[in-house]
Amino acid sequence: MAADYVSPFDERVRAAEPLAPRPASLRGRHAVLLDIRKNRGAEFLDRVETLLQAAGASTARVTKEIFSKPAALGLIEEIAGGAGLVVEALAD
Amino acid sequence: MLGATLAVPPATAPLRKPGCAAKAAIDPELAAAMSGQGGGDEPEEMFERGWTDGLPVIPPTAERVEAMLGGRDGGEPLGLVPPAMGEATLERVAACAVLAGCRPAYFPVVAAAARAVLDPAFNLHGQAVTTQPAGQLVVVNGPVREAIGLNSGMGALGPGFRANLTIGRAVRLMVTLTGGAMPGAMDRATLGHMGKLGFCIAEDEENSPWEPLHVERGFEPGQSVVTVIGSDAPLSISDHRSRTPEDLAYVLAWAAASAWSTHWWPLAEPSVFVICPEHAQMFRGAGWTKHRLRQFMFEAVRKPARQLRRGETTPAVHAAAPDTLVPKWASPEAIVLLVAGGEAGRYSAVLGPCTGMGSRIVSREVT
Amino acid sequence: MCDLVHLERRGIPAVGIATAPFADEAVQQARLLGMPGCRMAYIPHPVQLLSSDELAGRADAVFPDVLAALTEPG
Repeated sequence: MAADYVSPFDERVRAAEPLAPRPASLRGRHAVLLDIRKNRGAEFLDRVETLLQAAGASTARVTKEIFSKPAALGLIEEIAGGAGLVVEALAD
Repeated sequence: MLGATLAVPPATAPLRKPGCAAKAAIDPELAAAMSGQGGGDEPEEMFERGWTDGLPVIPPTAERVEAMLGGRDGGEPLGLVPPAMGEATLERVAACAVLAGCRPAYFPVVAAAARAVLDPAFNLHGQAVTTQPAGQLVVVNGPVREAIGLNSGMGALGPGFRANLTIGRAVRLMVTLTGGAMPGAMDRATLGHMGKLGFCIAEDEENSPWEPLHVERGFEPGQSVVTVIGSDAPLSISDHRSRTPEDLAYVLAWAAASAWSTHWWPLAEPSVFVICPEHAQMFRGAGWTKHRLRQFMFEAVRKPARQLRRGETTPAVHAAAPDTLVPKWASPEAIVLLVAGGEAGRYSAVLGPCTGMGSRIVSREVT
Repeated sequence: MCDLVHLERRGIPAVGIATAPFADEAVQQARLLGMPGCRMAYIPHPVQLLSSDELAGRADAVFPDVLAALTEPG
């Protein structure tokens, strides 16, 4: 007979949410590159930006306030307002 | 707060099933094995459920948790605990306190510490998942120390005292279990340190020549307060020979020169010095205020930039002229001074910071 | 991971790029945040001491995964 325990876990089941719908290609889309500000990240994103542009996307660069916190919701809203796509990097 | 925007569906009725934040679904084999268990081995059951930090825990039965809550509303939400964003209700915090081995009398301190680490300014999220070693140091000030038997004397940074050990542990269990920051899984600390089992210390206000930490931070002396700081393991500072406050202050300060990193100067984040009573007595006898000591230490630890240009160092060091003196700390406020320890022996200690987190020191009154 | 989940919720296809040791943590966290399908692309660890050419090479090598994450249906 199992004892009546109080779990330290929040065991509520979260129904899996779907991803945003995807475009068929990057051509004509606006990609925001979100830099989490770890060392070498900006340089890495420079190259990714070039590749995104070669694939036909327009690009913009945004920097997170600090890598170890989730981005401020204001920043998320600002990005979401203008972006078609986001690439966030570089976590190492 | 970030977590408030996550749309969490209404809670399902609590299920008596093995819980583990790392599992997305019930393990049917484990569930079958557990339901077949009659009056089995409770300590082992806790290990099987993953409700531990690697050491045995006290099973959080409904009776024990109710006793821990002491009539408080267990449904009160304190916030979402990163990185799993599990909700820390007061009842869940009480469950962690029971698991840790706390007595109900300790719970107000545990609750205050839980509120403090969940303050967004503390950035628990960064600390919980980082490769850095830091854990959450809990410093207790005020009358509650004596009321519940918190040790601030001999062995202040070590084991032996139930209140210190279990309060620190309860906070870490909330982070590790409710928050899912299990070492080796979402807690990526490369080495970590034993303070991540729990690190609650009390300041020896009675033997200190200075105002205690909570008074420095704006509280009344008679208030009981917990202060949380992201900190790594203590580095021992031996000084049995200094005969002047200047010499002692110099030794204490320079012991911290390699805190965090030997050349990553200056540091904005706090270095926490725990000064033993014999060392504190030297400053008391010479009439040094805390401010004077802090200022002396801040000014004492400097090196020419060219000496710091080796290995891991900062852009500031690279940008400075070679003979410019670069300080260890960005400001005197990065030097936190506490008094604790046995009355005999000249060993103080310094705890290095958690860096790059934007983490602020947070205090909460014990209510 | 939190950022990616927030963006996806707002209808923005997103992908995070990390070094390989982050993979199990990212998968766990995505699941715990309620969006297990959240997408990541991985490059080999470590990166800090790579030359500029080597770092650019990592970006080139991972770009097909980035493209797939942003364009393949869920």
